[in-house]
Amino acid sequence: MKGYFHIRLLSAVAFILVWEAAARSGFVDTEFVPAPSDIAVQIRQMIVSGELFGDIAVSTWRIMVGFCLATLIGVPLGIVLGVFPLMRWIVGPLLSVVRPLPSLAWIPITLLWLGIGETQKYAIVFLGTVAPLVVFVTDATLRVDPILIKAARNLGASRVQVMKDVILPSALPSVLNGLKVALAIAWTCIISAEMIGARQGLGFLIWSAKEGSDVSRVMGAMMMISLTVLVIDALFRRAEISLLPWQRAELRT
Amino acid sequence: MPTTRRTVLALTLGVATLSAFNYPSCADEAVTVVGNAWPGHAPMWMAVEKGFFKKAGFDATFSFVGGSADRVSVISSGEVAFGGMGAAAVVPAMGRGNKNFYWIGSPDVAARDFSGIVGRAEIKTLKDLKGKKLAFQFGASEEVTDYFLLQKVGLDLFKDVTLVNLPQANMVQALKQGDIDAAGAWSPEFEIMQKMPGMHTLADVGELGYLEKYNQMPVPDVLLMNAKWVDANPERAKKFMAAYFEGVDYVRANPEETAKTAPKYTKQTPEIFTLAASKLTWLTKADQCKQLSNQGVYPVMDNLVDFMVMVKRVDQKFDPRGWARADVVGCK
Amino acid sequence: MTEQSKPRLVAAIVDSSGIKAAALAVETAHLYRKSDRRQAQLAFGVGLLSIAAMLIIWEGMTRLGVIDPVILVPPTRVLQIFWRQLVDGTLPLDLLLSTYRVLIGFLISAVTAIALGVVLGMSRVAQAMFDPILSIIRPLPSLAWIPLAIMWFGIGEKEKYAIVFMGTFAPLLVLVIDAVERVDVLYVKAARNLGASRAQVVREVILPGALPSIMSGLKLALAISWACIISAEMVGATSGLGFLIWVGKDYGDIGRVIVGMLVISATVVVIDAVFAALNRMLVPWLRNAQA
Repeated sequence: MKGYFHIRLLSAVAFILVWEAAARSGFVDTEFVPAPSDIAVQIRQMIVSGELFGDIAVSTWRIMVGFCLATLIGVPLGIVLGVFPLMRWIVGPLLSVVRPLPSLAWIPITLLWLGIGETQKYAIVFLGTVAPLVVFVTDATLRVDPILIKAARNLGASRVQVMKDVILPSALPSVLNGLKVALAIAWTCIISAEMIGARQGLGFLIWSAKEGSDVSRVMGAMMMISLTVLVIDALFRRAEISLLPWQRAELRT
Repeated sequence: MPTTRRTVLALTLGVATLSAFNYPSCADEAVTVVGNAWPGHAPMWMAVEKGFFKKAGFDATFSFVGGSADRVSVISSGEVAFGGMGAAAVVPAMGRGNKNFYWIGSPDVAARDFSGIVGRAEIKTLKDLKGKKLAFQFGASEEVTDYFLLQKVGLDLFKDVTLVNLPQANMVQALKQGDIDAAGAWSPEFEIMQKMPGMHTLADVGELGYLEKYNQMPVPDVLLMNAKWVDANPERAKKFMAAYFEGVDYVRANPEETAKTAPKYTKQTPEIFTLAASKLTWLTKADQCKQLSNQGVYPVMDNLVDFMVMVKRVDQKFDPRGWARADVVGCK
Repeated sequence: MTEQSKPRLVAAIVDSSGIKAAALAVETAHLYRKSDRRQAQLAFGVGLLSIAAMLIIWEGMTRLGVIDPVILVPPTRVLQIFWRQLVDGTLPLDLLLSTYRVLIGFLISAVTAIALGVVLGMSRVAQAMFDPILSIIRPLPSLAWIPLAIMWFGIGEKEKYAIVFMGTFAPLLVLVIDAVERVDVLYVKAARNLGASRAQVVREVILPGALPSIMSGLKLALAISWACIISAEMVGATSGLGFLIWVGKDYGDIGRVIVGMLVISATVVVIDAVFAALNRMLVPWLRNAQA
């Protein structure tokens, strides 16, 4: 990666300069594509006024709560569905109804059920992430080598022991992959959740910038969302490395 | 920082359990009220800003929720106690048997020209709208107004025109960019669009003659309160309404101060708020008591029920008076 | 593990973002499909029974007043609304329009992402040049593009295609680059030694080699496309499945909302099946490997 560092840097600088020049010279309409310096000014304003950190903290908290609830319910449920075919057949149809729904589709019902408070925000993140997570974990469980399970059963392990000591550790890498997907979906959910009846958050930031028809603010908000997602992803990778010590060498590359 | 499996698991569990205790406690009587940027909601803003709710023992927060039907939903959920909206969203909810809210008043009466339809240059009269794109916020009062206005020139809103569902805030830009041919809107977007170059007014709500006949708009504004919140403690609800009426009196007496505070809630300039506010009258407690009667808003609501039955949004005729609670307003 | 030895720029990006994991996730459609015929029939039967039981409980609860029918509309009412919209033709039209918009936006995105992805996958320098832009747009959730798309393209058809394109382009590009890089260098070298031109290498070696991974990338992009279009249709549209839900919301009619949600789910299930069939047709050599 090192060898290409100068090219990336150069290209980034060139890109920003060309963009800035195009905007300043009037080659592109700044009402649609603002200059990078304008976006920088907007971001600076968000930071100075202190709203940005509040928005990041609020959104991250909402995502974490919804995501953790989805994990606490989705992972055990996924393992159970993977182990017991009958349960899988019973819950399967419900899952295939819920899984493809985009998070925005949950807004009308959650407004009616829960209003516009924090609970509704958590609920949208939870509802948007739990079904894909269950499907992913079930799949990971099904992929566990049946010989391992049979061996453990023959040696007298109970079903619960098998789930805890055989299936969970061997499915863990794929489960963590599923959690990564769920986390990515959670970010889309939060943009939906903060569309109606929110007073703070990164989603609120971008929607209110849109209401104000301020493109440079919208773009600034997008960049801040992008940055926050990157940081959270990096933290998640750290957690992944510590959870899977036996895959450490592989994960670090 | 050495992170281990156990700490990660513990953190996950920790966040999850913390979240379970994160619900607002009921002790401090936190109340959420909802509305949008419509100046009719100014008494709520000022009652929050000037501490009238606080004085009455409520920690009230105003939340912006754009759609009228969404406001009915969140009040029905019980998470929000109070709010204002157009009756066009309330009547269908009543018609479906929603008993989760009470109707506790009619906050304002607007002028003849507070809303209407604005069109691009090539649309000369309302009749030219046939087959063209007309935008309004679905489920909002303007929909009903536009229906009646088009009916007067022999057009059926739902058959002869292509309808675009657009939040009021997005309308100005859509009309400017030519995405729509005409827009039905209320103050202040109505005036903003009227003043845009090349646009002209096709019709306004005054042509329907409701103000002369009923001293009301064809689709009145209403105030709703969550039913459980009222039933649990009717005295509390009355106290809350008293604080709201303090807000009304304040707004009527201090237009400049209100205009200065309004941008926090409307995201528009004080001038635009003043322009929009000039088109309406906020109703005091005495006014609202008069409104909640057969000489006031009731017959207008009956008309609206008939309309909703006609467009099949309500299955059968019903009496909206069943939801009215003049006692919470504080009427004799 | 063999990929381990080759250092590559995109690998880190692909891995950290969860995009690759997401591509894996959409590969789980076979989950409830068992090769055993008898078991499959049993699963189908139990599934039907479970749906029936759920519907009966749901209907019963609303009828008995355990659940306020205003808060959760009973299934019979949902069916009634569904039937009405089916008969008056709005539902089929909405479905058709949404599908059309998805296909257009998806095709634009697929063509550009595959073309660019092949170039970037073959050239480290080009990849390094694009990396700064890609690393900003890649983590963006697809919905975050909606405000920008509305401001740039208004609320017409162009905006719908643009949202699908914006939401799917970056994840697809990353997956295509990854797929191209995974093609064994040995094959490329062998083809070059045998006198193949660059264009021939792309056509005869790289594209077929990367096709299976590209297909799973396309499947992910298609899933995102649906989420995008439905979201796009919610804000300022005159038709489409998203419009259906949003109008239900704006009229406060939860029954309509539920009809919209169910139709979306059914559509996605059907499209998944079609895509799986297409995949088996285009990549026949993987048919056995998957079983």
